[in-house]
Amino acid sequence: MSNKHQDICEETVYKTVFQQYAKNIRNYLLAKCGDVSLSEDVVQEVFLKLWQKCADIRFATVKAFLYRVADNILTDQFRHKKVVLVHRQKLSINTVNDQTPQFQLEEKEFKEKLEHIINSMPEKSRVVFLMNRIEKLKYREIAERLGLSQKAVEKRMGIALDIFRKGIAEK
Amino acid sequence: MEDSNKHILLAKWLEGNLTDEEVKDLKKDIDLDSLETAIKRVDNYDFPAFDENALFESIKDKVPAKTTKVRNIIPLWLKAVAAVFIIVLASVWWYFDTGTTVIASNGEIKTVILPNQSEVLLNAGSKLTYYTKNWKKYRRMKLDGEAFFKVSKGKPFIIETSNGTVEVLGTQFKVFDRDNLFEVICYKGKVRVETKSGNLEEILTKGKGVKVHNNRIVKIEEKNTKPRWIDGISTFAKASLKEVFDEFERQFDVEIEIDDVDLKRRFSGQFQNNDINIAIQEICASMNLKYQIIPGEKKIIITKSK
Repeated sequence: MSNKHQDICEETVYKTVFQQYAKNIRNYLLAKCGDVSLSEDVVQEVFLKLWQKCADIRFATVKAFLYRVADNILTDQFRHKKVVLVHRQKLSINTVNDQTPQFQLEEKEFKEKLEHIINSMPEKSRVVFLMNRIEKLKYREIAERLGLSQKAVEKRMGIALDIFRKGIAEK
Repeated sequence: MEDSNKHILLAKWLEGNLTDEEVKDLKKDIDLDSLETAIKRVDNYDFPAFDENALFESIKDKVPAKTTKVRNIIPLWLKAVAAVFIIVLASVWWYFDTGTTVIASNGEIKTVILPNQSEVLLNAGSKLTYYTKNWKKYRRMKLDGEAFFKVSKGKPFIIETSNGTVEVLGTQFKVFDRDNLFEVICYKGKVRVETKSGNLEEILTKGKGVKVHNNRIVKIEEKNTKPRWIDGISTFAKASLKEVFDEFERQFDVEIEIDDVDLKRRFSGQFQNNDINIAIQEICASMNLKYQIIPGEKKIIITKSK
């Protein structure tokens, strides 16, 4: 069966779309705003909207739709609250637990420093940085997901790296 | 080394896309070794876990049961259309299509994504109703208030307001229709505007606009690339105080009571939509007025100074 003409209104197709994109969109939103519950709320809204409009969206271009709707809803939420949201990126550590207390303390300090540096990055650079380092995506993949040229992604990443190295060198 | 060049080289270095020669060169300015060590530590981190299945279940709960839904047998496709076209509106026909309505209440700005991905930003206190019934032949909607449109190429795109009709092809423009005031500004592409009374029929290109008030027509030159209310700033160029306070009421969702002030006076300036105190202060200072905010009642009283 050709992929292009699948009907998103069919539950199995809709579910496939969800499984393919929900996590990516959520991580993208998380990279943007740093708020876990806000990101998940927005993902929910995005997919509800997809269901609403399932008859009008082509399977082949559903990704662009999802990212665009996600951006708009996130922006709307910020506007509606009339507050400038402070980005508070919370990361969780993947390392093994049996480390010395000294090591754990150092790791905790590094984590705080890292979060602080990430929060200070401009949004565009931060998003690319996180997608590259945390989600482990290559620049080409990031470019594809965000609809940018690879060069644009590299530029944003470079800015992020510059801020990162300067931040790490402090104190 | 030029800054933006340095950034791209840094990024390429990290992904292993530089030649040994280029790396040597870069090392002269930047301590790549400590950067590499620090970056490796970042690799240990992850985003907080995401329970996909739980979210899917909660979406299923929110979705109304679907009965038979009208499917598009013919897939939607977009084609470039010739720039000149004629509208023939059969008014009777519209009544049988109830359309989808979106409302931006006072104090909020709403984004609407139309079928085939055109976008509309609705300013506070505005209503948009769009009719998808014949969307494949013409894209038609009604606007009451103010909105910024980003239209994708395709079939004719028509906006009806109480004062006039706007028709477009692949452009970005703003339509303002409240009371007797009708304004259209084109930010990109081409837009055709026609008033109900028939005294205006005009094609606007980028940077040009037109303002119609009580049948008087004023041409506008616009330098911005989009309306400033999108960024939370309401701007006015020789607008009447009535217009200014009306907009103020919509942005902050308050009631403004006027006490012996000439509302026909002209105001050129702006206010920001995030702080009501600063905003009302600035307007009143420049117009020599006094204001009094009534606490607990969402009301402001404006009087003459001295």
